[in-house]
Amino acid sequence: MSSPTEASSGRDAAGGGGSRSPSRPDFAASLTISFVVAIALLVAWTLPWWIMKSQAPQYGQRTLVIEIGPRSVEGDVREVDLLGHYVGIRPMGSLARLERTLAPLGLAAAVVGVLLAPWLRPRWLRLLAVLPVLVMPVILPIDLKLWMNQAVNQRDPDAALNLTVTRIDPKLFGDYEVGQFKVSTDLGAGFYIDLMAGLLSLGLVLAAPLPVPDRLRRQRLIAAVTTAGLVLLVLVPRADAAQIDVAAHGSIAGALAVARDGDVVVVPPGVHHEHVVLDKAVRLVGRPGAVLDGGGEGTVLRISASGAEVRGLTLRDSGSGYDAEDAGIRIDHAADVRIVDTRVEDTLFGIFVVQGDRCRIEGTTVVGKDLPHVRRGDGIRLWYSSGCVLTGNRVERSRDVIVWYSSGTTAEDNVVRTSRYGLHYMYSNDNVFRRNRFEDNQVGAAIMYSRGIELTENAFSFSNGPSAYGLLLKDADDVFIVGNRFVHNATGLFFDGAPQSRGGRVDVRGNLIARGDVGIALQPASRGIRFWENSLIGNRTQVEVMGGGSAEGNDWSVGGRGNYWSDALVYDADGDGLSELPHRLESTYEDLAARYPALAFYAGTAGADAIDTAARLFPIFAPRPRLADMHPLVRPMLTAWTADRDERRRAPGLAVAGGVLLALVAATLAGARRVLA
Amino acid sequence: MIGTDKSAGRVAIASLRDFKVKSIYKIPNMDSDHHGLFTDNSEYIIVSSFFPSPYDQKNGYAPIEDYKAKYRGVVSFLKFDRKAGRIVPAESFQIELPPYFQDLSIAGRGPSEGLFFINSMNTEMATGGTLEGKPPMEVGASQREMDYLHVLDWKKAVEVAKDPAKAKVVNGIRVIALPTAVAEGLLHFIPESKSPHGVDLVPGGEYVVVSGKLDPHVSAYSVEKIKKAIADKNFEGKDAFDVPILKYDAVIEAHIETGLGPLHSVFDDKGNGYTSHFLDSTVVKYTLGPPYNTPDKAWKVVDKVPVHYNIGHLQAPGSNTKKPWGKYVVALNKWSVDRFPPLGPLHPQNLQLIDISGDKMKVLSDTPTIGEPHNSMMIPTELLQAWTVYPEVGFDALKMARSSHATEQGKESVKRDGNTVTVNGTVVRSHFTPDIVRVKQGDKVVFNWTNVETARDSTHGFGVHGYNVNLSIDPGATERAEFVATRPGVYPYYCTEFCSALHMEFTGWLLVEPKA
Repeated sequence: MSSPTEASSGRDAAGGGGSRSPSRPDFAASLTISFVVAIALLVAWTLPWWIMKSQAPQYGQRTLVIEIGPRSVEGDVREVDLLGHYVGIRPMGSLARLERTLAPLGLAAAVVGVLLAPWLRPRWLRLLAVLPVLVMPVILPIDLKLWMNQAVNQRDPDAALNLTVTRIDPKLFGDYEVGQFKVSTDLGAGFYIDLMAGLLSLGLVLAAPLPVPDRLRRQRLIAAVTTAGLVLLVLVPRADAAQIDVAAHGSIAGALAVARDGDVVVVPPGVHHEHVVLDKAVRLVGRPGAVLDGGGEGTVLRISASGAEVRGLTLRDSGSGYDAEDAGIRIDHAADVRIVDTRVEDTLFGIFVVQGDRCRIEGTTVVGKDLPHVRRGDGIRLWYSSGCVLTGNRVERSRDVIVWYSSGTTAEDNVVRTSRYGLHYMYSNDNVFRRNRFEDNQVGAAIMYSRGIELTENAFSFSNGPSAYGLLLKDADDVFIVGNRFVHNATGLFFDGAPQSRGGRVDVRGNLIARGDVGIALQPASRGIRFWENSLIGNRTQVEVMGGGSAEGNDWSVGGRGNYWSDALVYDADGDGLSELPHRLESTYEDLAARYPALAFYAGTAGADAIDTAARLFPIFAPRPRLADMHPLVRPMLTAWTADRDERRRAPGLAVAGGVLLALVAATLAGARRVLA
Repeated sequence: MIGTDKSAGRVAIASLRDFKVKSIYKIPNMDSDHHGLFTDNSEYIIVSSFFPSPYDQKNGYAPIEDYKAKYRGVVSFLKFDRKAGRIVPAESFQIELPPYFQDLSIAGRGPSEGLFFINSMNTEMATGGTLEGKPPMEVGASQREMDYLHVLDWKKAVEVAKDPAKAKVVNGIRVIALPTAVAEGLLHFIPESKSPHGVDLVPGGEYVVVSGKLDPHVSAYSVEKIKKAIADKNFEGKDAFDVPILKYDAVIEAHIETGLGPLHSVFDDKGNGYTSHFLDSTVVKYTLGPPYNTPDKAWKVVDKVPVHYNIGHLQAPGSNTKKPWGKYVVALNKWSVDRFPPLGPLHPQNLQLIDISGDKMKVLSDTPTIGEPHNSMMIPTELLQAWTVYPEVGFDALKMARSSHATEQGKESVKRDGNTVTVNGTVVRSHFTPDIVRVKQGDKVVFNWTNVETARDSTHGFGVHGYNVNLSIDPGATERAEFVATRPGVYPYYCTEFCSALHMEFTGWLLVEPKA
């Protein structure tokens, strides 16, 4: 490119008067490098940067592959995490969260940097601009190595199979062995592409800077000021928002009376005996120790303004009238209301949302009145309110968490305990539930007359009512139940009329269903459910079909993979983790017990097992088959979540650990004092 | 026997002598009714409206926006003349109610005699309006936490209705207006779990049992406590129409946690209740409170049996009386699913017979039925005094007397009066007399057939080709059919109920001569 066009050289002459470059700027070369590097970065982003292949006897001939990128952990994560879990290694997804969160910012900085670099005048500035590209291939392996060391050596000492090896030295490149596992690691295409891009970008540092057109240069100052202004506007919204202190106005109502939309009303610490109506889009912020007390009457806080926010307050002691629906907070016909880090206690209803679209309830705790179950109100009730988000809340000693006629709800990381229905859910579509715990309730969750529901990694455990279902699903379509745990319920999952429509789907995959009287109960109107990779462990009856029908209208394996049955006789000749013996659910004992109820007394005893074993060896009786899993799994497929122990079992352990720790500290202090003395 | 008609707000009165309807009464000011019953000593038939309506507005019309102001429910106390088998409108009256959906009901007995209980729903007064941006009907109607169990003092209402100043005549019936009913203390509300189905009374009348289908409990209210709360004016508030609401905690006796979707309850003679559960598809048996059981054994679930599937009502012999007596409960299941071979998109429903004579319930049999049998009553067959044949030959079932058109054998006739041809004939195995009838096109033809047989089961039919006529003529009955013979031709008529060896020959001819 030795002959630049006249136009460009003219511009150069006009603009380059101030500083002479050692060499002539080369538009084509600089821009090509700049764009190639940017594209390479984007391509590298989608490719693995580091690959780990491992072979474990559990997986036979199969090689487990993990691919790690700046932001992703992909491949056989579930399997490797499962193996790791046995030896106490944390799931990979939980590592380097910060780095993976920041990675997109790094990428954006790198791309913006290389695109800007050709235009920057001082060399040091150009070097700075391409620095993100240069450092990425260095930082990632170092960070990866650090995390690997940490993960494999800081293992959970309580793991089922703690390693005899005390220290593992994971390699970044090359092969090594850990116990029975053969591991080989290598850098991936993403790393190499990014490395190349980094080297290429050095060219931009060395090359002459490109001239900035006059027009742009003149407007640079204005542009900079405008940008700064915009940034300020985004970062500091409502610079005019006033902060109003309740203390200055005698009461919250008084402060609210003078507040305008967008203001912040600050509630000082102390108990405020008020019933408050929030009818302006203000933020009601409680300083630590700020309590709003309803004095046992009515609803404590009513919100009727869209966009209002409550943060950091404690609300307590509502009335207890069902007819008036006394609540801690009632959001009525107001959208975009946020309730954050708030505590609602000793109320009949906790948070009662009526036509409050897009509400957000976060980090909030609701503890109901100390009343018998039947006299309680709901912890959180969403009624005809779409697009709400419930995250990180805790509901205890309430009746239900209700989602009725409310579509597009997302509920994540909530805990509902010692209540009636953990989740009472009707006529609500396209909702997502992730990592919630429904424990010690009468019914874990009842989901009815709805479609489009994702239930991932929730726990439905210790349900204890007369209809103690972990999850009841009635007349629902397109429900995806993946990776949940259903432990210690009278009935783990109960299906009635689900899927209800032709073409409707219900997929049940990778769940742990354990220690129930009944694992899965099916009403015969439930057909077309797909069950695979679930682990049914130690349920007294693994699958029950009401009315004595068959469960064969449902799929018990998908893509050649069935479920793990703790009572199955398995035989895996080829070592692929799948049993060659189909598992047919036909318990002679259960069949006999159904006919002669007196036999139920022997459930779970050696006698019952003896009947079943005898029936298998001498198939004289032909019990009715309930279902056949043609490809049962040899081992349970547990993930970090499904294998996790439930909180209430962990609590005593934590208490003991805490006690020991305190004792150690005390002993150390005592020892130190003696030494000093 | 009285039947209600939800679609038209009518009652039909049928005699159990011959199982035929004797009269149909359109209740004024009501467009619909879902449930009705007798007071304990059959003083009144009580029927409440289901859909509120602007019945006292001009032309019965008011825009739906005026729902709260102008729409009203109504409960009717219909005096029944047993001998005549007729409603006596002049002695009947109504009480105006708020515009909720008044649903199932029960009349008191024993300690609750004189009271009347009605379940309600849509106390939200939702009116729907999906295309107008409002929540759909069922969404709006299930918003509130509680609906109201209506408690009416009907004995007091009878006295109030006698005062013309307090009961104005609207559309031909005396109506006690809502404010008057409130002022006179005729009407109180009790909060009840929303969208309830059954309201049932234990045999002795001491407890009212209600189930809200979205609450996994059966709630029992004490009649004694209700009476005390009314006397003490122990209210927790008033509704939008100033009807006092009794304090919930003051009247509730027990909550029995029975399972998901409780609907209706029936009772046996051993102090147990049985509740149907729609969601769980079960019947749950539980003990009643004192005096049926000692307090330590009261209100406890003792057994549960799965039924197939989606049970609605259930029934036990004598359950709605002082003295239940049966050994069985019948489960009226809405869906049969896999119980019977599929017989088309409209599948039979399933009635299951459950043995309740032992400690454990036992499902004995499944019986298919068609057409959603919704509710049922069981009475001892000894109470039936049905005729095997009509008491006199030539009986008019509607008038319950000998028909003026009755014809004796040998006195059959065909008479013409202008354009009307009247046939007074007889039927007997195996012929019609006459068996040839000649008319002209355009004549009005009247057949009065008397079945002169007195043998049990010897019912005959009269079907006419081409004129859509089919009579069933029971032994001793005189039945009438009339039509205009608009189309010429030859129309055989024949017996439509197989009766004898020569049933197929049991025929005659209607000859319609064309107009010239």
